[in-house]
Amino acid sequence: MLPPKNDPRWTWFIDHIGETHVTDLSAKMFLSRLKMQAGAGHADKRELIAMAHAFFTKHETALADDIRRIFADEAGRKNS
Amino acid sequence: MKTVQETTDLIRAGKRLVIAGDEHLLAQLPRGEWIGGTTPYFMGEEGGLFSRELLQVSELPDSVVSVQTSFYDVRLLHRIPHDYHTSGFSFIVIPAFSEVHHAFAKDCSSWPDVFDRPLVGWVAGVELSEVGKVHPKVFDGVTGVSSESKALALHAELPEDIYARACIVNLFKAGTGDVLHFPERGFEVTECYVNNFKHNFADYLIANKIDTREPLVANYMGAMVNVGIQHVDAEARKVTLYAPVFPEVDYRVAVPVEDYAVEFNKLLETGHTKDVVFSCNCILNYLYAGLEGKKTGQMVGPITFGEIAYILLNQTLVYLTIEKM
Repeated sequence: MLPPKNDPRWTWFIDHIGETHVTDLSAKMFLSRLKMQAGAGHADKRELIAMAHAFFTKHETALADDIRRIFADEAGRKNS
Repeated sequence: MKTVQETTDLIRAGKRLVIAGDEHLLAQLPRGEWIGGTTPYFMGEEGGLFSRELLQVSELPDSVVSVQTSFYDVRLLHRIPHDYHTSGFSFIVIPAFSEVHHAFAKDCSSWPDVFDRPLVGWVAGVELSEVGKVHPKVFDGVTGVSSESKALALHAELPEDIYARACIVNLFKAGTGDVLHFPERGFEVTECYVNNFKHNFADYLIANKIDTREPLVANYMGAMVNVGIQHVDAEARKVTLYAPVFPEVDYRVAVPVEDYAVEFNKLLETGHTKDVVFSCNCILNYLYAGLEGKKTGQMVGPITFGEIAYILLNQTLVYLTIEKM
């Protein structure tokens, strides 16, 4: 299940976006764009979290495996 | 591969189709729920082929609820995601060398919501000897209108329990050589940074004897995205590319692929390639890997002047699957 926007795992996720592993092509493309925006300073962390949260909310069913991997395995473990 | 008559029969039977072929064949087809784009190069059931007599036809499954078609000029291009269905996918065909081709390639990745539904398709082309003389075209079967300057999309609606997925197969991997950066977004490059040192890109390619059949490769979170090298102008010290480079992205020259058909078939065995309703592959793979007469698994479809899976790709096979959730 997708964590709420104020969950600290989102901050971890944005800080480590380059290390994230996803399998779906749309998620790869979306996260690449997010990474470029973060790198170019085009958006602050709160905006990046809002964009990522909105994307994963829209695709929660289709990207269930990727979401589980990001938040349960990676961010979840590092934040626990 | 189908004849005009066989394709006409499918259209008249109410099938929803995505059709690739020579202009004079597409122009003979009756109106119906189809879109098309020009190319005389294909991956057919028996392997790669050139044909001005046959059409390549991808039939959308009966699970598709409805389709709508729309042309987009440069001004309206960014509205494509607005026309996505809540559940579904979209095809896009763009005439090569048009203003809309370049605008799509440079801007689409920044459009809001572009990644919300699978967007796949191809850049329509012509016989290579006719480049610059004959304009590639796209055809809207619903209205009977064709265009050499506008992109054409078919937006397909699916029931909520059916899911479409855009996928790619790219045999090229980034080499371990220099990291390349480009300060400007675009298809034409003069300046680049090689491991953070400023160079002229044409000079760099020539001095390092880079084989320009190998694309530049960027890693998009595990998806390898190629940029094909079209022309190196030593005198003008300028390089023309088949897709734009972006300033925020690291590029490397690809490792050569030994035998494209063999490696491709190996890679297909490891991927999810059932329920494929559409695929397309690149004219550069067709040429450089000598794919004429060679099969690439069960994948059939147009050989194109650019492949689209959300963004413009080069030297990549794109396919769309439709499956039950």
